Amino acid sequence: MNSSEIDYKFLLEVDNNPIVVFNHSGKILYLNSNAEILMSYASVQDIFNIALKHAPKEYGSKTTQIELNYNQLNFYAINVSYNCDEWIAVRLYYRPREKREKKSPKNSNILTNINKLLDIAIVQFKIESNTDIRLFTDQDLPETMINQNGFLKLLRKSLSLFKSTAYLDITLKLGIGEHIIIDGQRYSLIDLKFSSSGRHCTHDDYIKELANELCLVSNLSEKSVYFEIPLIRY
Amino acid sequence: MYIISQSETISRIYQSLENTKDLLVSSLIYGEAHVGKKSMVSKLYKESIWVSGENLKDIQKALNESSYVVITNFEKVTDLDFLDFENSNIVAICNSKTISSRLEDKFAFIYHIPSLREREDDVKLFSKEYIEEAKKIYNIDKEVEIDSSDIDISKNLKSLKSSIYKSVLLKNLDKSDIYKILYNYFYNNYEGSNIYKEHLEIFEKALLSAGLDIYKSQLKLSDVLGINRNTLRKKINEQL
Repeated sequence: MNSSEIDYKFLLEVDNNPIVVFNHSGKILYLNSNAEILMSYASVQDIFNIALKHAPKEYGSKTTQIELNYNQLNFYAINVSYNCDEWIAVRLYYRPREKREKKSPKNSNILTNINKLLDIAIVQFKIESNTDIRLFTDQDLPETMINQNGFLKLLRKSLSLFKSTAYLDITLKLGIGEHIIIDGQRYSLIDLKFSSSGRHCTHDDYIKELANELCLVSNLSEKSVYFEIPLIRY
Repeated sequence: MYIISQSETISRIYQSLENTKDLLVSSLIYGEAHVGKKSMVSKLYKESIWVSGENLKDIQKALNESSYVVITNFEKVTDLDFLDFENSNIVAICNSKTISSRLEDKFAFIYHIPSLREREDDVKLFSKEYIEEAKKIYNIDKEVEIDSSDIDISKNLKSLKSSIYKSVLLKNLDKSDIYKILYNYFYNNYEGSNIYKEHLEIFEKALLSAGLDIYKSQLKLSDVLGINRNTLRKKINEQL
């Protein structure tokens, strides 16, 4: 077998990092399966602009370290390549995710309705803030075992990051096709996301620490705070 | 619902506390002394064990005995690390205008109760309440109006209540009450060599001031008092 028989398109397709190829006007010519996930969070124009901004001056390839966040997708670098004027390709490199295996917290978890805790935290938040809250929650979410005190503390701290913003979108829904392993057991996830036009960053370290203590996966970016909550029902 | 307040902030705090009263969470309520923290919590947490923050052993005992504990005078707690609030419903009441970030991190919820100076509507509401209370206690049937200058909110509800009670009482004294007050005062201050002149001013000063406020003219006042105009002028110069 010689190298010409290698299915390079297949290799691109299964690459763990998103790869997008644009034509000269920014239309997508090709995207691999990982890029399809990325495009559900990022705009085509945004990715095209990034590719143009970081393209090499001459034909060739250039890698740039750049922090990009699209919801829970975080990238630490991009590579932009082209060898003619008809197309340009960008590959985004995933930041290695935190190990999604955790140890269960001390035995202080109680079967809890997350929606109820979120409502309570919002009532408290509204005492001191005029931020317009837009709620997108799944009211049929199953109850989960969680430390109520710690989780409410986390909600209060997270909400306080958006105290001075005009609006705050809050999404609470069941994570599809995602899981976390705690003490060797596999659990589905509940996704909780706070996002706005910006936010304070004053408690980021404390929030990460608190989330970790509660066995939550946290992701804090420039405009959003995102948690994955294990759905534990024993 | 508890509603001895016109303040939206207070209503929201109450609602939030009501929402969490069956959850295992810790809440801190802070603010100046006598702003109504304790009375708000007592409406919702009657069943909890109440302890003072002055004694750590008492707090520890209460936390061991029950999952529902209210800690008053939390500003007097000396060792925060000593207290484990996990799996308990804790409400801590702290008489303090501000709190440290360390204290803030200890609790799931933090509520600040504004002082009466920041709750103008509540001052009116509580004044009305206290006037009615005072009227009942002093057995007064007629309407009583309190001058705003007599209202003291420097120590929030405590000074408001006492200033209103005092004002209601003073506005409704009869001749025999005044006689008794003066008698007691003179009896307890009968010392010196010029007592007659010194104590006469208590009576004369009030009599002349009230008369001037009513009649605005010394001439008219001298007629009403039945004394010579020159004598009145001399007394006004001496006393006022």
